[in-house]
Amino acid sequence: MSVSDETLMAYADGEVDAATRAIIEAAMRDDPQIRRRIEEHRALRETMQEAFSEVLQEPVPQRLIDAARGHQPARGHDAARTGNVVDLASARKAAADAPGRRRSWQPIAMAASVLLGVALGYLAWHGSNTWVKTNSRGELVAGAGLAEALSNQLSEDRSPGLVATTGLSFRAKTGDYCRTFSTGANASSGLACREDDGWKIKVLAQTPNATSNSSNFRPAASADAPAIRAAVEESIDGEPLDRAGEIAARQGGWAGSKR
Amino acid sequence: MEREIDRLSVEAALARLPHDQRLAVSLVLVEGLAYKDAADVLEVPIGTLTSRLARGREALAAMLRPPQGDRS
Repeated sequence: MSVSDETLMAYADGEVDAATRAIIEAAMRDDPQIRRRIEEHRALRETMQEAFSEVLQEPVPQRLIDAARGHQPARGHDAARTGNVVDLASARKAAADAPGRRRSWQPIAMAASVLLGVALGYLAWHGSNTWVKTNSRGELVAGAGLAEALSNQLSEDRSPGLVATTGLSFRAKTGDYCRTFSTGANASSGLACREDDGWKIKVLAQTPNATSNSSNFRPAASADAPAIRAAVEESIDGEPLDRAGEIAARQGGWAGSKR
Repeated sequence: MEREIDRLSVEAALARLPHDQRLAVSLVLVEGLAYKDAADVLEVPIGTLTSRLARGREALAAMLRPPQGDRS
């Protein structure tokens, strides 16, 4: 009998029911071709997992970590309170001082697509799209809660109970306004830019879960995620907005200048 | 060093997939979600997820296949 390749794939992923499994296992015994296909599916899965476990655990250049942490402990809201403008300036300087280690936009975009997967995975478990959802074109956009924060909160707003905190606002080279954000709740953070039809998520990173069970331990607060910092650095036009600039942009609905 | 090249080629291959397929592959193969969870995240029926995943995988495998192993 013939088994579709999709079914073999599902079998390799452990996604078939017992009856289908029995059929496939019988077919495998007779047909080396089927065995080979299943092996290929498994091998690809392993390749992907191996390749990306390294990206997610990739060491961040120490100087950027130093610059980013500078004067702040890496902890939740408190960490975000310190001046981002200063942080960015020193991060830029550190990057400029270490040109060999500076990442170009392209690999960041790729790594970011992986990070998106991580964040989406989180959502799958928590079943919420308050935060990030896909629009009709399959692009990631801010969900209601996050969009609300991005549109209305000023970066200095740190009241308890916010869905998300915004970190840094700036005008991108595309003419759009962009803002970094983070949420304490799921240790995720990212960069969103206001486009015609909403806040598009450009980079999203989730702090990898610590292997430690201690709930006190959180690795580097998400606003410091190197992919986000680097994306800001690559796309910013001029300097970040100050408070007055944010208020003005908010009044204008964060509408960018024409591209 | 060899690993580094590996990783870059996998990333490059993934980046070349159409958006839908890349998301399906990222969620299932990288993130390790069950098909059903991945389908929920993307708000598509599980059959759609499965076919995107299958196409994405096939394309990836073709891009990553070493030149000498060229029989299909």
